[in-house]
Amino acid sequence: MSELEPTKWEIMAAIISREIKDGEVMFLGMSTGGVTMLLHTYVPGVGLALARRTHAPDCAIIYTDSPDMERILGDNLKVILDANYYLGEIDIGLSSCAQVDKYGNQNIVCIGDYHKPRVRLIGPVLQPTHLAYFKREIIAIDHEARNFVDKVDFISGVGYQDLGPKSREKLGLPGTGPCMIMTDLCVFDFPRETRTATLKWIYPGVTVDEVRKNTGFVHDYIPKRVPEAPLPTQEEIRLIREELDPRGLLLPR
Amino acid sequence: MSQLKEKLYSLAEAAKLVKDGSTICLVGRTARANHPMAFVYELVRQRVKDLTIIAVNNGLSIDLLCGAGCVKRVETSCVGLEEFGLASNFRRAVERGEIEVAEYPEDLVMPRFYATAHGLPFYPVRALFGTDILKYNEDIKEGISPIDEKPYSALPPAKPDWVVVHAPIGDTKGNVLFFIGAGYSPIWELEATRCTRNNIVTVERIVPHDQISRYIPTQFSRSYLPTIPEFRTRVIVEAPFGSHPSSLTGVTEADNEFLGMYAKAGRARLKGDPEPWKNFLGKYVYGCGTHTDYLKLVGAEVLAKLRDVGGDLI
Repeated sequence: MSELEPTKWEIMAAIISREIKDGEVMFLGMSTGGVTMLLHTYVPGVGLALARRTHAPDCAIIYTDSPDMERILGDNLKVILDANYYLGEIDIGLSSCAQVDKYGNQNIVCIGDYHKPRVRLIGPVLQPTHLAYFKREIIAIDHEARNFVDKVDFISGVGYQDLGPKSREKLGLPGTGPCMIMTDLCVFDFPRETRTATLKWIYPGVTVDEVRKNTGFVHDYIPKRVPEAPLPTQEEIRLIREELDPRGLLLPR
Repeated sequence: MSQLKEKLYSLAEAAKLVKDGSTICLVGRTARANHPMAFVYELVRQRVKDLTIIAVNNGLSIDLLCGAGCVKRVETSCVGLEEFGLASNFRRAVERGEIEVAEYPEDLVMPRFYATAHGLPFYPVRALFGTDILKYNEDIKEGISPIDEKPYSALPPAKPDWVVVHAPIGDTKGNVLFFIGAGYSPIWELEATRCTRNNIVTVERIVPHDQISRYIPTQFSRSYLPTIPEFRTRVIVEAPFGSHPSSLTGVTEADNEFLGMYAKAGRARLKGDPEPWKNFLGKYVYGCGTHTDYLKLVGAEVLAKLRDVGGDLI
């Protein structure tokens, strides 16, 4: 039997799956459709289902409104309807945004000056609470240069500011902040020493140059050696394709 | 004209209660669920001006009112149209500096109503540290807790002149019941209407008071929950399909085709072509004398398809 080649969406779903520990609760907010829907809802949804079918049978999901995904994943999702955000009952949140900066601050309010914006976006929704109280946050966005800025135009989700390793305590926020930025090209993380976005993995077939060309960050975010992202196992790919999303309705193939 | 003691109003009579410059709370959720749209259309027909709108998480209702020039200020967490894109009329109004926005995260809107309902001067929260909401929303103040001596942010109470909600069923005295759908409870409607007696409730159907008890659950398996008691309802209006084109949980589904057409008209205007939006307002709002005219225009076939099979209303 020949080896199954994972798609980038399957790679991302498997990364999310491994981020989830057994018994954890993940929160998905609402999404605006298109690629964002895929990155911010379907990929993590399949990731969670994959975790339940492998190492984390008791992890659960809480989310606003994705009836299609719920129909397709069925019992592979364990959906709960309520959790107390403020007492740390959410372990992992997912956010997407129009801008993210090197400190992991996110913006979904406006582009340009707040009082005279070039583009008015939707508004903060639940993002402040995600970043204040959820234990950790995965930022999932499509990889366009304009999404990665030195400083966001409006902070609606708080990252680490320039406060270093103890930034969250200094800010008075109980959540530990963003743990990764996941895009359709690569993954960034926020190493404890610097708490600034650093390129962690690139997907197979993606070059560091391609990332550089499509990333607006101006700080030094590319380490000397950037490893390829860990790939899903053959069994994980099989589970996704045969049992979780057999018709490929969630993750395009 | 209805007597004050009598709560049964027409949409037109009810909308006249909302004067220019009023603050209204429009409960609804996300871009296209549970919005009191029949009432909102009527506000537009009556050309109400300078409204301040308090809301939790919105799209359609606020976008329409912005697109018709009825709004001065919006206090909410979100105005967007989900898969239909950004709310172009809202966006246009903000970008042109025509309306003010006060940002409140979704989960920090109801605390403003708790403050009002409990007669408190503010509601303390700790979710906003480090955000620019504290920088730009001047109504949120900083304080130090006298108990743990740590900082908090004080949210102002919500003080709407009117709260407007749409519900499945009510009676002639103003008792109102909601449907409990999967993953949905009418908690926002409940909390918002608790903070005032100036509640305007539109419902799919009004039944005589002596019949409402038929719908009140006698056991936990029944799916209706009595939510707004009569003494808290100032006005009740019968408006079937009163949330169209948004959904009403357990009763009707959202009209996605209509929403697509709506979003496209707004987008054209944002990009400099005002005609589609003018045509939309002309056809579906100003061109309809009443809500019944609007429903005729949308068409029985379309409306029949939107009935949610899960919602056995009567």
